Amino acid sequence: MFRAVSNRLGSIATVMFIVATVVFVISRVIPGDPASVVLGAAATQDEIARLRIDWGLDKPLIVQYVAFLGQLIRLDFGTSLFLGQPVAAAMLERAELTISLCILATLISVLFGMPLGILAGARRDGLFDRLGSALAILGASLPSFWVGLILIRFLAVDLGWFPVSGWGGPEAGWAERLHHLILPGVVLSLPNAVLLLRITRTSMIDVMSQDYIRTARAKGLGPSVVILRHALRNALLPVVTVIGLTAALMIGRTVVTETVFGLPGIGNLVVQAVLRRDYPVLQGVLMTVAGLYVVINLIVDLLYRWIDPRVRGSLQ
Amino acid sequence: MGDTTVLAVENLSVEFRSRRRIVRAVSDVSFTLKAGRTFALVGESGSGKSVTSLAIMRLLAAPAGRITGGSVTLHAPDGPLALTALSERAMRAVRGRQIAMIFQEPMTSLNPLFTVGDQIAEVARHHLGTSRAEAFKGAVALLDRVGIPAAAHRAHAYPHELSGGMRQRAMIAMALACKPLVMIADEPTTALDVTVQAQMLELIRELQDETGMAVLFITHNLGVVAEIASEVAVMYGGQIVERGEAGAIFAAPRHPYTRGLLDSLPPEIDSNMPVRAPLKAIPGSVVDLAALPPGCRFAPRCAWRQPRCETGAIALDADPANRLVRCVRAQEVA
Amino acid sequence: MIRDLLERRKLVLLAILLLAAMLAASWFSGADPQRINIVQRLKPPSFVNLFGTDDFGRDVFARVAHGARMSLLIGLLVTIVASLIGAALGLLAGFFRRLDAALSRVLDALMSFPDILLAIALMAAFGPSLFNVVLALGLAYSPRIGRVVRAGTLALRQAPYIEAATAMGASSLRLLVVHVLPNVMPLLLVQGTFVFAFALLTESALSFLGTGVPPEVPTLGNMIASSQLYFRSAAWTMLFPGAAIALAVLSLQVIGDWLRDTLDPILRNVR
Repeated sequence: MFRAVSNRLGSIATVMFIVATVVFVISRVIPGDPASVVLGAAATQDEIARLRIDWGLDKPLIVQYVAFLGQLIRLDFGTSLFLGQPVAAAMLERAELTISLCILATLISVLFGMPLGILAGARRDGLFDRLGSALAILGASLPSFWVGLILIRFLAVDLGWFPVSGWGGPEAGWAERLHHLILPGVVLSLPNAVLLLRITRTSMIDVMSQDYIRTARAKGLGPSVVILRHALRNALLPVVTVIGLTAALMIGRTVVTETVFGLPGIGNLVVQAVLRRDYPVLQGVLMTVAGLYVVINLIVDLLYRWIDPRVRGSLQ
Repeated sequence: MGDTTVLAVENLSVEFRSRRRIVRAVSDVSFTLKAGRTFALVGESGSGKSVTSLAIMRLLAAPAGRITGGSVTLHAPDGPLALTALSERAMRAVRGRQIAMIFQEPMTSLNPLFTVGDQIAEVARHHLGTSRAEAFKGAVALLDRVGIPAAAHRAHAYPHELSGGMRQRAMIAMALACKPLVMIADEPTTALDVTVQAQMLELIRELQDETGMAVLFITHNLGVVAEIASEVAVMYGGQIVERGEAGAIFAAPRHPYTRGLLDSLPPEIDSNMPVRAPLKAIPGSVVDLAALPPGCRFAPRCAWRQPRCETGAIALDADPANRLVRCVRAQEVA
Repeated sequence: MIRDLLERRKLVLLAILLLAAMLAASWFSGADPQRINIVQRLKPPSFVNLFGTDDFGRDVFARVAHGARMSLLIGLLVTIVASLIGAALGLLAGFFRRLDAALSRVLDALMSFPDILLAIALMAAFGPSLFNVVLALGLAYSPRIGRVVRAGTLALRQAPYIEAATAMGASSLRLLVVHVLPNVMPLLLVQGTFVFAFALLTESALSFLGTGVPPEVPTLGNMIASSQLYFRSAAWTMLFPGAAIALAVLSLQVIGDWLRDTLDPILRNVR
């Protein structure tokens, strides 16, 4: 186990180094001098120059790059150019909303995607399979912001079942918050649910044709025991990986969902940062999201090893 | 107990239908299994022997594969059961309880995510309602009985932690869990080393003596048949082409196909049998079950072929010694 | 089996026709997508304006027809850029062992950004323009192509005829262009179709966020973005452009699935 983890950590470090480089390159290509953007048109050359020195923008790129890497190692993402607070603090402030939204969306996608995938895969070419496949390809074709607008228009505005936007603020109780987050959660979960359906289905079909399923049936076990006890556990091994990775990638898609539903989370922070050229914020979010993806990847990998006795055995 | 019939297969036929074609996998197959005896079903792959066993268990892949004719009757202690007419629910009570089955690939036939002890215990828990702890104790006893050393410890092992021979022993233990009347063994030794094969045959024979169960042994290996079976049916193209006492068939095959199979055996394996010409393969390839010829199914490959073989179906006729042969020249072949 | 295939072919044909119709519709729509008619502002769908009118009284059908062509064109360009970059990276990584470790890590790193986030960040760096959207999305999707091409090239490198060609002294460049590239083309085609579909979705999302093509370019995403102010009363201004995106993406996925299954025997050699 230790060896596997240390190997993994090595390649994670390499990937994160490249990620950091990509992020640095992106942020330094941004056209327009952030100092003059911040100070506005009325600023004098002197003021701009002073701010550039404050932010270290006057130094050579390579110095800036090394300084940037040094900061990252200390998990210091710098200070936002507009919010007047450290990037880490700005992200933390908004993390609660985004994380609860992502957890809710993951739950929704697992709740719908997996059972549908199991039903579809358990009987190949059956009714559920045809229905599920059609649903999967349709679901993957809908622009999520459009689905969000439709849900707002018809379920929130016309029928009044849900709030139109926002999340109820920091004082809101969990029930009110949940009420606010259901529609965004559904929108955010859509592509993941569809992906989970597809993966679960394929995996189920694969497992159902295995010899040990025939053995289970030859023991006289009924279809529900065969599927739930013998097939499902095997079929879910690859699904676990997908749940983990899509949960990580979901944070990126909150950019759209939070904008549609007016939620002040991390995704919203990114959009604001891009529109205002607040590159420390952009850097911070990009690094955090990519880092999360890589870490979740590692956790899923280790989890997989723990669930599957074959791999577990080879590690001991 | 020697002559008590426990399972009677009569005129069993199986078809696999897809949109394009109909594969007639089993045609009109009949035989009986007797308590304490081993009946071997022999043939090349695609001869219909495995499909026959799956049809008895009613485990054919639905909806493509289905039984189109004939019957299977299990003579259980509390009266005969027509398996082909049972509801799926009633059939489930037979599988694993009255008829157990072991398969060719012990590695893939065991669920990789459960310990072998759990998988064996599951049978008793399901059919007899034994408690978890009791069933697991039973599983350990069974593992011990099938010759797995340190059974109490091995019961907690996962399939991948056992050797091929031990896995097959575990499969056999699983089959024995409810003391079935019939055990179907579908090529149980094919995936194993030769030395392990012999141990496995010995084990099955021992267990049979002990429990009095009937064994339906399916194999393509005539050497194995000679070791274990009292009666043999040779299958070709979904039909039985020859059926009778094992010793008699080995001594004097009447069907050209049986003869070809025996001729293709390496001499050292059947050293206790009359030695024929050295290693000869049967020419041609196995008949296409989706495009069966009108006459004898073996005719295209047969050295004894005559014009009359290709015109009409050949009957499975009994000779005075009660041997069944599906050949018009059976007397000449012998 | 055969009937399934035939039905499937009909569906694929329908998808291709739909995409062709979307590309061509702007020539037949009649109405001028830019003609402002304030009197006819926000009119619901009717026989005169099939999809209704927007806040400037412009014909939504004509605008959807134009927007669809523009969006499809952008998507196609993105696919081409992503394929060029991705195929180059994938071929190099798969063919030259020394480059593999480094290039694979780069692909891994790029894949660890959610595609939309990477595209947004690149757009922030490049500034808003049509060209930059194509470049940003092309870069964001290139790893998806790169990974598949790399895997295919790796498998091909062991193929007997490649080994034979190597033994006969063929140069690496020649091997790559003459022997490897044509054989990974099916992979590229399948993956490219899906990238086309994803690119349509992401491009429209970028437009919606205001970080994509400039608002004056009539893409479907921009139409939905500009409908936000009044879609509560005039849902049609938002419904039709979105449905057009969904249909285009659906068609591409149907074609992609079909290509994958049809080319499967060929793909299997490469995988």
